[in-house]
Amino acid sequence: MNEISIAAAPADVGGAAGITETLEERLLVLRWFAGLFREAPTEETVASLVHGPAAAFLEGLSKDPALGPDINYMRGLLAAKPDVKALTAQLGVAFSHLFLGVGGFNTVAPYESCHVGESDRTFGQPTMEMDALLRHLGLSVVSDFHEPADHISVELEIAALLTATGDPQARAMLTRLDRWIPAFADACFSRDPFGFYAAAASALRAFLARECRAASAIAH
Amino acid sequence: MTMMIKNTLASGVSRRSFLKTSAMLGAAGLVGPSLLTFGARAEGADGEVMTGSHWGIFKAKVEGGRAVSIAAWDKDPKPSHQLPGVLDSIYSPTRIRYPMVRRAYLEKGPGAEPETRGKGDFVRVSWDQALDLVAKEIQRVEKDHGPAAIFAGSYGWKSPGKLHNCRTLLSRMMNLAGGFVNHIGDYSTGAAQVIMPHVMGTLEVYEQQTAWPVVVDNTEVLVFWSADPYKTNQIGWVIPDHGGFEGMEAFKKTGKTVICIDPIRTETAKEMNAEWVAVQPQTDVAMMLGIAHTLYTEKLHNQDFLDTYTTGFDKFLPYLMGESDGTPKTAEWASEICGVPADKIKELARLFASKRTMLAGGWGMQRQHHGEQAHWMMVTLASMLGQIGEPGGGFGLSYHYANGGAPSADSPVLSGITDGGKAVKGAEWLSTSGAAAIPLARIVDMLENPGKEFDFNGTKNTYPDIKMAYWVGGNPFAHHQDRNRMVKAFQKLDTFIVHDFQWTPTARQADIVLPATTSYERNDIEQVGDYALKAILAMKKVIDPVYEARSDFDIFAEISKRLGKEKEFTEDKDEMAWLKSFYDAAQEQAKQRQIDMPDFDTFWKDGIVEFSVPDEAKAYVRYSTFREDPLLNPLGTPSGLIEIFSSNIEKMGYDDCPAHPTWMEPVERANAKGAKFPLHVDTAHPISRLHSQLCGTKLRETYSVAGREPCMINTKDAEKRGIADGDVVRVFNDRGQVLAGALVSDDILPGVIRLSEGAWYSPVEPGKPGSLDAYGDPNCLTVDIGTSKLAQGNCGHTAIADVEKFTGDLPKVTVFEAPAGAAE
Repeated sequence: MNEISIAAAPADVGGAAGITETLEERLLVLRWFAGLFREAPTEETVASLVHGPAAAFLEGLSKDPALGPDINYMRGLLAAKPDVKALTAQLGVAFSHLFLGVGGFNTVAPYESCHVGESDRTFGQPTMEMDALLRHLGLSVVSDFHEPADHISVELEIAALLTATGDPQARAMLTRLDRWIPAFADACFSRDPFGFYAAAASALRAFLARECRAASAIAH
Repeated sequence: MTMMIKNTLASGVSRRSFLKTSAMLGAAGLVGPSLLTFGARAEGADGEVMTGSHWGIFKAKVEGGRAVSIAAWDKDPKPSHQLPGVLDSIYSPTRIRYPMVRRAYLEKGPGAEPETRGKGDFVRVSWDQALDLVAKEIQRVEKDHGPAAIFAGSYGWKSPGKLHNCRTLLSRMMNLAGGFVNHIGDYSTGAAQVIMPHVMGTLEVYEQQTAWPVVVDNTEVLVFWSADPYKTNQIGWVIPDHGGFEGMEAFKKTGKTVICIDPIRTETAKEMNAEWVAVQPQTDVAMMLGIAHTLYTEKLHNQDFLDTYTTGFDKFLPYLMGESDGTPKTAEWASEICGVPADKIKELARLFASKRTMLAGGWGMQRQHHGEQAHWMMVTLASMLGQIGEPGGGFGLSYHYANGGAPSADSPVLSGITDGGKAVKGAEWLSTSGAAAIPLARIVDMLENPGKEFDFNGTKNTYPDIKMAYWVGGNPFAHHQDRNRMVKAFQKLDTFIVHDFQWTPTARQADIVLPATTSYERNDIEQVGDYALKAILAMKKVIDPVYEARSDFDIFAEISKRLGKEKEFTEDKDEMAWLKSFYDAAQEQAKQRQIDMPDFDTFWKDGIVEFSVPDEAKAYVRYSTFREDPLLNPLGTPSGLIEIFSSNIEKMGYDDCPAHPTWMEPVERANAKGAKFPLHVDTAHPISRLHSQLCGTKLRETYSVAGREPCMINTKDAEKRGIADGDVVRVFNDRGQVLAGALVSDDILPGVIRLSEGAWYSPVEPGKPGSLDAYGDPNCLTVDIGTSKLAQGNCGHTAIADVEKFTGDLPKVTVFEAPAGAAE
């Protein structure tokens, strides 16, 4: 089944089997998470999450047993505060505190460098490795995204691309993400009282763990 | 579209088609355009770059365009243990990455919902949008309210460097914009720098000391009074040379007497195996009076020196002896106040009089209510000992700062970019240029009381009505007193703009936040050694700016451009052209003084030019020429002599600053009768930070207790309260409350706790005055009053409080809460 029906027909999203079965659906999930952690949401994005295509997408995701509890938690938060403007502000505060450093000691840096090894410094060895991988692939991060290459969104985009193109490095990339996203998700859990991003990070952790298991099973 | 996606998203598609398809998915509203694009970037450079910081010269190892490690310069005699924090600061997770604007401000304009300041509801904007906002707001306030409505007297330990001196650059831009309100003085020596010109005719606190080799050879008793140079000499206003450590180590080797007078067994006391004389906080003047009384009654004072080199001792003496107020300032009287046994006070008097004694005074004793009196009394005491101007004798007020006493090299003085205002004499931070100026530490009083008259050093002025504040290279939400009063006062502003590289407590309070580069992401030039002038250093850029950070010079040039003043701001010079101009001017001076210096290109390639220290600098004795002939070499005081009694101050008629050194009870003191709280809060400079700098780095993990600022408490005080080492404690008084981590120790006097200044303010309820501070900012507890009408300095060491073990659930972190109204 190679169908991504949600792209054009959100209302049809997510049958009983959920929406994470096909390659395309899994790619979409990776890219959706990349977008979620890329920047604070605009009112347009939030409107989509509350009652637009993204709401249908979340509903579909919620039917996946591994992701369901976290996704439903997110949906619950969205449903509890349906005022898009207020919700945009609340998510913006959470995003800037958690991921943009505004939270000071409570920042959860969205970089691999800060979650592996002994130091929480940014631009560590993982940045260098991701730079090297991008060079190897003949790619670079777009010029208006002023972030190091080990940013969570960049790594998820690379994972999606490698998976989509059947690149043998896809498994290593997913494993790489699976190595640090749990620590990232734990940090979000302890520092995000609102809980939206904590739940999102938790769902991503579950998704990556399963992807890695699947990749491993195929490899063996 | 569905079909197209179906067709192109088959496994095994090319990368190009995947990226193309991603754009289509974006059009469907679920994901944005891909972050990846074709074309690999060139690999970043490798190498080693030498540059400098407030902690010293260092070499950064660069791999792939990233700084991976730093190491102290091999000629640094005592590298600071804080140096690794520099790398943390570059790569801190709390770097400010993009221009950000407070949401209510962006949506509703200046002054909107000021109570949401500090809550962190920021919206990312483009550089153009941010710069337009700043320029328009400057123009609006200048036009509607005039230059006296903009406070741009930004203060703080900006990064070193003669070009990217953000405070001067701000003044330069604001002078072009039409003017601004500036500040007078600083937080370090607010009282001393005003009283000392009356007493000694000069600032004293920022001046070269009798050289260390002279002290090592001649001083028999070295007294550090409220000074901890092993701690504070790690840092320098320019690039520190750390020469003071060579002096201290050499003195230590002689085995001669070192005495540390302080409520805490300091790092210096430990390092130099010193005798620790534990004095109650805020009582140094009383203790000095007790020593002075002993000297006089035992005829140990030097009457010849007093007669020849001072004026007014005769007017001070009746006070000392109790003839004018009925209270002789005996050692016993002093002991009751300062807690040092009377016999010890007398012993010290006899020791000081019998030996060549250097009184090395620190600044903490003047950062308290009536702080002017401390250094004045120390000078009076030194005058009675009669050793001022003798090798190794007298007093010094800068041995603990910027390595005072390290002999000065034969070096030109490097100039820097100017603020374009009227020329000012003296140190740059004493600049009074601007539409008006206020004593710096009165900023909150100013915000609260527009139009109110205030006294300052014999003058009367009124506070301006400030609508906008602009801060760069400083962290007032760390260094100013009475945080809760401050939070409320800053809500009065229409607009608060901050440049920084890290989300400091101050940046979090701002309306517009602009990401600045660190020193290590731009080129600059600086002198090495505030007093030693040991070298001129090329502060080479180590890495390219990260995220969207820009240099302060670029930011202000862009704002000036929007104000129609770009050419005036830049003078058509870029970064390297400015640096060359400063170097060339220094080279010109050097030529006239026959000092060898290479041309700029050679210097830049070499990275440093060092200067030799002449023998006469190693033999420098402060006030030796005055001592040789006070008529030919008079001081800059009205009498030309040391003024133990000041007629000028007498004329001012201040009730809180009499005309001679006087013991006056501070507004609060733990041991005073009727004190509301039992413990004094000592807010000394931290051991592993530069004030608040590096608090936001991993270095914090080396000293924090239970994740909080350490609160040193005496064993007995801890036992009495059931507090164990490592416990979370609540420190509180009527002004505020903070959590901290208990550090139980006998290195602190009972009745005193130490909570070092510079601990980042982390309110549990941001924007709400009175909120519990979760980390341990001592300025939640300190008083915000002027030292006196004379200097109006800050009283950062005046605070009493109590401590209790915190037994409740640790407060939930609420800094993520949405602003009021936004979450409903």
